[in-house]
Amino acid sequence: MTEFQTFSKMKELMTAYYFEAKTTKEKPIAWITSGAPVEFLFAMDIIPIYPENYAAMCAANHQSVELMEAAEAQGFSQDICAYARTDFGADILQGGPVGGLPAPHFLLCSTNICKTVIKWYEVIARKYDVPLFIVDTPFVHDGLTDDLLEYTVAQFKDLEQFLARITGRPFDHEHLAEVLRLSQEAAAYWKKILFLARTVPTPINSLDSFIHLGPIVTLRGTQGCVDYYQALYEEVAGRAADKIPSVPGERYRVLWDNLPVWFKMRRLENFFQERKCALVVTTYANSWGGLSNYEDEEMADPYRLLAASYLNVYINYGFEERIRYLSGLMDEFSLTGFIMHSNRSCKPYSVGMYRLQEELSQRTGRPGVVIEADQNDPRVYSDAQIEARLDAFIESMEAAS
Amino acid sequence: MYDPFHEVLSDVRGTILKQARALDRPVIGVMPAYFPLELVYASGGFPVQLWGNRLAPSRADAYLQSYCCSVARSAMELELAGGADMVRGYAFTSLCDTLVNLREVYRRVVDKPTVELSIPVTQTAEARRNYLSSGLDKVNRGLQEMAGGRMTPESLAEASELYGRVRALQRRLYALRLERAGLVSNLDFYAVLKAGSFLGPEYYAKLLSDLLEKLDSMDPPEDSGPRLLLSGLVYDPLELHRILDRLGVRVVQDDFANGWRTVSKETLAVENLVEGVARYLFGPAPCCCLYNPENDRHDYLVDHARKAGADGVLFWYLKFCEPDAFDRPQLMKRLTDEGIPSSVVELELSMQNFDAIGTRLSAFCEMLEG
Amino acid sequence: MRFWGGIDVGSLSADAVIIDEEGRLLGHAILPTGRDSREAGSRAYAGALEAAGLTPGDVVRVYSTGYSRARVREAEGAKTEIACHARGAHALYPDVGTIIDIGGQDSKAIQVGKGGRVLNFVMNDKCAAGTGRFLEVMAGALETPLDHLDELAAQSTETLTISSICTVFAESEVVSLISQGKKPADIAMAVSRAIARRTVGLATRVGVSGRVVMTGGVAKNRAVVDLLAEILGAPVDVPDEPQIVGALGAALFARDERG
Repeated sequence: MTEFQTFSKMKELMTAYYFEAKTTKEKPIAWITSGAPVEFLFAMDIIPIYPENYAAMCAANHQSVELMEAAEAQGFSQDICAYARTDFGADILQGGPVGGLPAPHFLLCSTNICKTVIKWYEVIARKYDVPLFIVDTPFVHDGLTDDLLEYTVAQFKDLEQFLARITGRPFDHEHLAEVLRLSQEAAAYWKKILFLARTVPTPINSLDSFIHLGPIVTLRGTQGCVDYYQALYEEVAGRAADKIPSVPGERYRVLWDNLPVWFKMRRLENFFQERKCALVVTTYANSWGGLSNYEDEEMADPYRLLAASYLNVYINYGFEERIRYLSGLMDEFSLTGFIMHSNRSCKPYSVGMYRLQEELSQRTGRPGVVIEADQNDPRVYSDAQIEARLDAFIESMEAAS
Repeated sequence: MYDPFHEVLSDVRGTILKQARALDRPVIGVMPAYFPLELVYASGGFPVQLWGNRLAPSRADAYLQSYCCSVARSAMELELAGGADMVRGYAFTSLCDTLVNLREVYRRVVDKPTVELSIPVTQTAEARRNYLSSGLDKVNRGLQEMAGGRMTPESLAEASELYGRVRALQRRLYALRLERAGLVSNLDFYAVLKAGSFLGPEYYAKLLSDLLEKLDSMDPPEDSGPRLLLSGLVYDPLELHRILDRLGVRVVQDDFANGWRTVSKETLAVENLVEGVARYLFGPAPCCCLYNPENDRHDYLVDHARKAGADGVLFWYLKFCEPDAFDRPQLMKRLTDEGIPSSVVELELSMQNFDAIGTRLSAFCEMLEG
Repeated sequence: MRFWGGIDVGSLSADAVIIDEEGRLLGHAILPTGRDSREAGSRAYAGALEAAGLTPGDVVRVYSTGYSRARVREAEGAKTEIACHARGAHALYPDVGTIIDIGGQDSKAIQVGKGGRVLNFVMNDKCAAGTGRFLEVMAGALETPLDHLDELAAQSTETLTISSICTVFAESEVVSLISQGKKPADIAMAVSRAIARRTVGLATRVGVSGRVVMTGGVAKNRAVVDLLAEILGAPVDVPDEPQIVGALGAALFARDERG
């Protein structure tokens, strides 16, 4: 991991966030998916809790196996998403880095990352006997259309009513406007940070961006989040200006598609460092920059803007758009190749990936590789097999250069 | 008595070709689940339901990982192996993550048109209606292009009547099985049901009526083995029903997506198509793939098992089907709390060796018989 | 005197027992199944008769169990190994509540009620992790005979982890630990812990209550049994001959049949 000064600030921010969530007596707690419109919650002073973020933390701390086994012992199949299993286990054992998550008052889930979250949240809703609100953001096969936007906006308005009922006070539209501004600002900084990776050599690599995702996922819409990414941006920009590489002797520049392998971060980092291969850009970390994609003039109605950015998620889009986007990144970031993580836990990201790899290689003339792994389950991961594939991939970039 | 149905299954390809010729309609492949066949038929197509098959994936392996379910993998294998050459286009629903992406794969790999009925699962009623309305417009346009017909109020009414009749007859068969447990063997029952996937509605309705007429005067054998309710996505592989028959199990009811969850659907109301389709999709039986808190699966399944007088519930788990897998542990616990024993078997459509599953099934029966 | 027989033909071994009216064990035999399961069942039965000093004519009835139960020539009836392990273990330990049986191809946890009745059971997924086959492959990778694996594990001093569920992946983990120069004893221990953890998951699913008894060939591996007890936080009893519990159950079912 690149040693950023700002890193300690992030730790403080995340610790304070989890501390408040674990100790608050006044604020309601909502469990929420990573792609759900959290802005509405902050507008009503509700603390959002992200089981996905927590599951990733558990895996990065090498605690996911024990937790998944606890869920499996209750009958949850190894075929279901490893994030869900990790969280079910953390809930059963009150385990993981902060000893389990604070119990929810209600749940908010959005289908833009998968339909699996519905099933996952249904399990939680039954266990805690709390309401579940779903913002259904259908898969966009053929571009954003009015019916999709209207459908989503109508649900936002319904969500406001729902939150008013939960909290017992009218929905705070003024506060929403403020939160939205902060959220957009944070997203803009995040995107600017990720775009600094266009610099050759890159001052930040994707494993860094995975680590620094925490606040944009959990705290977008707060001032702390904006401040943090502003500071990080300045630091990374400074390194870009000074041409300080995140991978010394950078020789290969590569895109990573899909979630990280959270339990192999360090090992993979060393692996890529040794081979002078920088992971430069990822479709995954980019997903949280979406809100800044729309200029105010373009989307005068804040609801439509929110709807567009929550529908416009990489994995919620058809393959034509994915290919277009991927090949754009390949050029924009001067990449030498790409790695696709065929992730057993994430079907929307992974099903059809072989075809995408083929097409992207053809379209860009650059090599790509698919590795079979999982975001959170070390038990289906083989170091020897994956590293052999990655080495072959790096050789093919060598041959192509 | 069951020969016509078994014959269909022994030559699915030949059956489809023959039926398509007789109907003089292009074949439209309908993927799982709940795509109203009525819409296809009303657009001039002959809908054939593709719930996977027994082909072991080889060509499809180039596109779909081993952690995709065998319904998706074998359906694509059939297409790539040329077995679905008579299919002019495909109709999907947005049932699950795998199928949504599968359509995208088809659009790039298979040179055939596709439509998708995007099923809204929001609880915001008006939004749901509006979105479904614009979705149906798209689907109907796509179907008409694919099938070359024109959907009219008349053609819709005709299709609705035909498929409504088919499901009503299927429900009579279900009722008969429940009342006279053991009269129809499990293998025959599901063969009858499955044959309907590949037949024109009128012809199938005729076969069903004939069968029901014969069965009407027949009595079931003396009481034998345990009465089971089966729950899962698909009732395949049929081989497993042969094993249940051998064990003397009497399946009295099911909760399969292509079984009772579909058969229980009333005649599609076409005067207001949007309302009609919404009702068709979300009831009366709940499904793990369609979020609907108004119709909770837990209460439903307990009630369903009690009404059927089932001694136990067997979960028929098609490997890698996440929607089904998520629900199961809590469902099993609920059933236990209600004093209804349950067990689970893990399946793949292309499986060849049933020894281990046979052992599990007989152990479950032994347990039920005490 | 009247006698009954039980024959358990599994994927790896064919086991047979002879019992008397009181259910006392008079003789038994354990043989590898080999390619011909029918023949193996017959030979095991003959061995058990010989050990008991009896001839086929002395035996009232024989029941079979195990994967090949339907192929056993001598049997008049058959029961699944789940029912038979429950029945057999109950005869040996009347207060048994939970049975863990790790066989060659599958592993199962059984909840037992009054009279050895099966209340509930779960079996492993179709993959081989957590079965005897898993241990066999790992013993192969360690170049150690299967029945010496626990002695080897007993000498372990360092804790290593095998994380993969998949037997193929786990084998490559073992190979890479060997190439890192890790001690075979520590690897053997890690392998034993891996299988114990998988099995505890099964046992928890079925619910652990009352006395826990382990049956099946893997019960002979002390390391696995001790680790199971440690992780479960409960003592685990192993019968003198854990492999014949299924056959014993079958013989008891044969005895209890009327006529």
